[in-house]
Amino acid sequence: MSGVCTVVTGATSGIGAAVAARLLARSENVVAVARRADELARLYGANPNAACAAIDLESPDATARVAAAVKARFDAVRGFVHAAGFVAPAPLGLVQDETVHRLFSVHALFPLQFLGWLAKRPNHADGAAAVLVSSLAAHEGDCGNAAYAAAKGAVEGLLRPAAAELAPRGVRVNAVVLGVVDTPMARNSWMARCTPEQFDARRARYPLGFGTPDKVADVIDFFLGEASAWITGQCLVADGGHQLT
Amino acid sequence: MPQFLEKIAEVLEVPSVTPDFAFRSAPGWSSLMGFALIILLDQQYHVTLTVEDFMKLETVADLARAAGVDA
Repeated sequence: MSGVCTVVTGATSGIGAAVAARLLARSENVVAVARRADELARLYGANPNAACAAIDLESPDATARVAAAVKARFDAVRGFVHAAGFVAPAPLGLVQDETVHRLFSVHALFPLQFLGWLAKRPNHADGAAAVLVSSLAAHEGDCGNAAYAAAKGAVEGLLRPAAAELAPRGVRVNAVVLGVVDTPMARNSWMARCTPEQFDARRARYPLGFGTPDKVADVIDFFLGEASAWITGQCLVADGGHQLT
Repeated sequence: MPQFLEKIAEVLEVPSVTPDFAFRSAPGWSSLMGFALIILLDQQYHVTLTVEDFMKLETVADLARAAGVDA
């Protein structure tokens, strides 16, 4: 076990931070990937099981850089959680090309390429599992969400072919499809701009309340571990009952 | 200001606007147009408005002021 690690992107905030924290609490090795080197150092610098990798996943060599960060400290990857991401709401007429490229790069292109690296035998450990993060945005009609929903749709699109290619190698890939989760990303976007009435109206459609990073980390943990050993290529919706409303 | 007026007119889908135009009276006005105005100000003038801020604005001149555009 000592030479294996879990790569967690988006590790300085929200869901990624919650996943990394719980792995480290179990003394598992983590390669924490995020853009902010100072935040990574603050959160993980003193932890002997953590390697910090300050990498912008939009960069064309992101996979090579994450791979190098893995190999600098560990032998192989037993878990990959892709929690990094961002939103950029805009009505169709104001969607910017550059933003669309960035959304696709971070959300879909990076995991597609990293899974390709992970597939190679020296890079993954036995029983390795990847968990991608998608959103109900790709299933619902929220004005302003087209570009983000397209990028998350790309995540769900790549899931099954990727899982099919990785299954013979014993590597599983699944996705969590999330409703509204109370994270810094949500707080800095729609939650910061809406009226209290709009907030309450949205909240009313979540019978079990909005999600929290820890509740999402619980589901991701399931997909990383032995309890899901017979599950691959699946999307699991975690939405506090939203789709029932 | 003239460039700003053009951009607002484009979002409101009218041929032109004047500073004293009450933007919510544009034909075809909807909350989606309001959303578009908020995003326009964010993308092109780097001003973040909450919905509550936005609801206090009535004219194109109010939008210009919020966007930091000189008269």
